[in-house]
Amino acid sequence: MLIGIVIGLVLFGFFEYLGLDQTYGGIIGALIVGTLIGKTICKGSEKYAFFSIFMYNLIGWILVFLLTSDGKIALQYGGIVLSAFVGVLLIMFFFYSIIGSFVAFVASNLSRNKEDEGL
Amino acid sequence: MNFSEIQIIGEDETFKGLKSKYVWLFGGIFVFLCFLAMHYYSTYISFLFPISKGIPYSLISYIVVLSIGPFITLITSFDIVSSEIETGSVRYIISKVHRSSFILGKFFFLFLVFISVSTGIALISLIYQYSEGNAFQLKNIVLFWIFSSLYLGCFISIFLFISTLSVNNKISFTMSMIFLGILVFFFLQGQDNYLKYLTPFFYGVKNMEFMKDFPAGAGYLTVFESLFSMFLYMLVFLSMSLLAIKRRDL
Repeated sequence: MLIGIVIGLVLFGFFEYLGLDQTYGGIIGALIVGTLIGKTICKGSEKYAFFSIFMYNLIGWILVFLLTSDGKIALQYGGIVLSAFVGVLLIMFFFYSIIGSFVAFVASNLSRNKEDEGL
Repeated sequence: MNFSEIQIIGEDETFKGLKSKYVWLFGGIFVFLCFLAMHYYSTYISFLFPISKGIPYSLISYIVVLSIGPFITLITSFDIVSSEIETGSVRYIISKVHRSSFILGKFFFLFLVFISVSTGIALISLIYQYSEGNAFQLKNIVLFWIFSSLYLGCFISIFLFISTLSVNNKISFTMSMIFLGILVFFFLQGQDNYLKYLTPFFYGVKNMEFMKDFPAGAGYLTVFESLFSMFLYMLVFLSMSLLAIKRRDL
């Protein structure tokens, strides 16, 4: 799960650096992290994927708010706009996490028996 | 893969399976819902369309298929493979036939049921159209039949894939609902987004204009294009479920 969060953060930074569209970046990151977690953890990989994707999105956006100039301006503005923005972001995190957990489910079930075939 | 094996599995599901009655019941409910929508159209939902060219019965039934069809296919097909895996009866079947024919037989059983359901809906809308004194639009009805069967076939292949991956019915149902939610989320992202190509809703909604009036001239190409894309979508998920059953430990 920790590895998932770290990889997710790296990917998040990468997409932010590339200036890719938010939706595509989030979904591609969720796909990659979900596949990795599904491949490594067999049992209950969906839960781990959900939490790690949620966590890395949260950490990434907090870092964006604290470290960049745009984020500071937004924080100083405050008010209703900011809270609406944060709400939308939370809903998006939730969707990314669900996508990631579904991908983890598929990946874990497709790769579960690769080791068993050799036996 | 062997065609006679597929036929045996399909016939067994259709005539002897316990699931068969249940699937036919939900198919009948679906036809009845479409019938209700067409019957009460003139009193309740007529504000949706301008009444200039008579009542577009095939369009109404197509909208009902688009909106309710995914849920009906979910209810009927989420446990088609996973219940056999859960009870362990799949082991007795795959010792006799190939794994791929098992999946394909199940798929063709469900597809056959839903093709007959869309045939029923098409016949009802044809009868309504005839009794209203409208022109006899056979082309629209045939298009409606093909498009709605393919649209429902896309969903059947998706849920069959999820059902093949799952260990028991509960997981299969949850994951099917989650996948449907993801598809709706992708579709709601907007028209200028590339994610819409991943959803069967997009292909379904795109075909809605053919229900209004049949395209003349170059329109045949677009009809063929959308038919081909839906067929491809179905084929991708079906091949993924074949891959999944080959790699699974049953």
